[in-house]
Order: sequence, then structure tokens, then C-alpha cells
Amino acid sequence: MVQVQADTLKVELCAPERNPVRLDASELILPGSQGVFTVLPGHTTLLSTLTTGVVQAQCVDGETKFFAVNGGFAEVNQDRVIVLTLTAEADGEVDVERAEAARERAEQRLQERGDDVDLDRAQAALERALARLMTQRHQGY
Amino acid sequence: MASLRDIRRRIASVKNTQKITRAMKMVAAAKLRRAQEAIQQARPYAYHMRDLVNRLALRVDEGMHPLLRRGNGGKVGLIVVTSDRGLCGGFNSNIVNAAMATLSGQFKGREVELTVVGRKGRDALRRRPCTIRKEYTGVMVDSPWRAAGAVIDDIVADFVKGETDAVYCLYNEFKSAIAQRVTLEPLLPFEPPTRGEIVIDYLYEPSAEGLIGALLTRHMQVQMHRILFESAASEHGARMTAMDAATTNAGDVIERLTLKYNRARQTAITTEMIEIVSGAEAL
Repeated sequence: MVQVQADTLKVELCAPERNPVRLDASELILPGSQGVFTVLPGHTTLLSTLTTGVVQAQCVDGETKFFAVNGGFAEVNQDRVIVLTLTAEADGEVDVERAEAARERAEQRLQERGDDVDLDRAQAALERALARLMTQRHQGY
Repeated sequence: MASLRDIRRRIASVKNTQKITRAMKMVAAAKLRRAQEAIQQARPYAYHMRDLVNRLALRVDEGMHPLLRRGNGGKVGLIVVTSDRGLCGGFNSNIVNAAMATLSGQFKGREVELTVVGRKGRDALRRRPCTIRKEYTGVMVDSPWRAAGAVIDDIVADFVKGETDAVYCLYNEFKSAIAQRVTLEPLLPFEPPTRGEIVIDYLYEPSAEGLIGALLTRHMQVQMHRILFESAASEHGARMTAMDAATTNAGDVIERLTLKYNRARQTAITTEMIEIVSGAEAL
């Protein structure tokens, strides 16, 4: 069976508390839980879990878009990519002060290593804050 | 016949009631706007999740995960979603009536485990001949997301253990500000779509087993979360409509009472004048 090879990815990024984002991308970089990976048109069908990190999309109109995401799933199926995450913030939507404050708080907690500090939670908070800051600075992987 | 003072008092009382219903309508309208936005944003995510799970169910065996088990006519888990507050028209009674109808209709002869969300539904169903297994109130107050997780955890645990073979949810689906639809939605078992799609197995990352478990659990929570939002938006819509009708009705009552009051006043004046005139004539 011959499959028509398109040269764009139809990307749809959804999170429960935001309107879905639709993009036509030529390249998409996703923070997989087993490591960052790139999706190009013609990619095989794939289902992956995502970790906290940055989604980077090279749009066909030449723009590069960044989104800070917080865990979830990505499906690639015949050049349609569906990204489902708990939160998604585009560059420009990030509250930098809050993210900086969250980063400092999390770093401090990790350094203190007190008995009542939940290290996993602090680590997760740090990752979320870093993803937001990277998004804001347009910094991919 | 009611005295002038009585009528005046009733008019004042109805006017006060009207003020309250009008204020409640405004509050409901403001809350509705926010709730409507929330549900419209939550829907695409939830629908995509459902489609994704269905596509996945098409590709894997039911033995891959206990949640993929196909039931065989055993116990049914029914989640009934109502509101915590009243004064929202037929919102809650519609759901309660529909719940009773399914118990004696669709689920007749099957054992049903009832989970009730919302104070109003709980109070109403307690008075009916049925047993409530679990109840949750105040779900929209704190974190709907965590509440959805709490509700669904027990449901999923029962299904996985094989105590229930099917799970349904009864709730008000949000259609528009003036329309809600009572919906009985099957949640479990999963029904893979049968229409012909080219089935290419996924490349799973990480392993299929790990991914499917995480995805299915998340899916259940997402659907419950969406249902809570549907119900909340419907509740505000129903309350707005009900309070609008109440305000209009209060206006009608005031109009009728005012007419009655004026008539009575005129009668009193006329009577008094006749008395004066006949008194003067008698002299």
C-alpha cells in the first residue's frame, strides 16, 4: 500500500485548561520520558509518554515555537501528532517571576535536604520551573 | 378580605424575594461564563484522550492491562453526578429520576454499586430505595482534578478486582446556557471502534505495558474531570434559567398584588365618602 508522503506534521497540542493549539510543523522536538526525540514527517506510528520539559516546533511559516509542558502523552499517526499534557504554556505566557521564585525555592529545598522535605516533589518542581524558563528564553535542547 | 396593610406587606415581601432571585441570576450568569470557558477548554483534551485510548484498544490484547478487561454482565458501577446547592430548577431531580429509571429499567436485575457526587443527589437518593456505596461532596470547591482522581480511584479499583463488570456515569451534559441533557455515559469496559482503520502497531516508548497502564489511568481521571466540569457548567446554566423565571414570576405577582391593593384602597375611600355623605344627610 502506497502512502502519500506529506511534508508537514499536523500538530495538535491539548491541555485541560487551555484552548488547543494547532500547528503545521516541519519538525517537532518532544521531551520523551526516555529522552528527548525529534519527529519528522513520515515518522512511524508512535505512542510515547512525555516528561516535564520543552516542546519545540519548527513551523512551516518559518517560526519556531516553544511550549513548556508538564508530563503527558504524544501520539504520532500518519503525520498527525497529538500531544496531550497536563499543562502547556507558550513562550510569552510564562510568568517569569513566579518561575524564578519556584526555581529558587526548589533549589533551596534540594540543598537543605531536611527530613521533612519531599525530595521527589522538589525535584519535579525544579524541572517544571526550568522548563518554563527555557521556554521563555527560546532555548531548546 | 385582606386588609390594605396585609397587601402592602405581601408586596414588600415579594419584592425582597425578587431582589434575591435577581441577584442569584446575576451570580449564576457570571459563574456560568467561567464554567463554560472551562468546559470548552477541557473538552478537546478529553475527546482526544478518548480517541487515543480507543485507537490503542484496537491494537492491544485485553490481557495487556486489567482495565482492558471485557466485562461479562456482572455488577454495575454507577456514578451519579449532581450539585451541592439547590435552587437550580430541575437540574438535580432530573438526574435523580433518571437514576431511579435506569435502576429499574436498563440495569434491572443487575446489582448496582452507586457512587454519588454532590450533596443534593446524596440527600435525594438516601430517601429512595437504593444503597449508596460512596459519596463525595464539595468536589468543585478545592481541586476538581484531585476530586476526579479520588472518585475514579475506587471505581477503577473495583473494576480491576473484578467486583464490577461495567461502569456508567449519569450526569448533565452542558449543551447551552438554557439546555442541559441528562446523559448516561459508559466509562468501562472500553469499546474499541470497529470501523476499518489501517491498524499499524505503535512503537511504544517506554514499554507497551508501562505506557498503557499510565495512559488508561490518566484517561479515566480526565474523563471524570470533564464530567465534573460538564455538570458544573450545566448547574450554573440551570440556576440562571430558574432564577430568571423566578424573577419574572415575582414581577407578575407584584403586578397582581398592586392591582388588588389599588382596588381595595379605592373601595375604602368610596366607602368612607358614602359614610360621610350619608352622615351629613342625616343631620
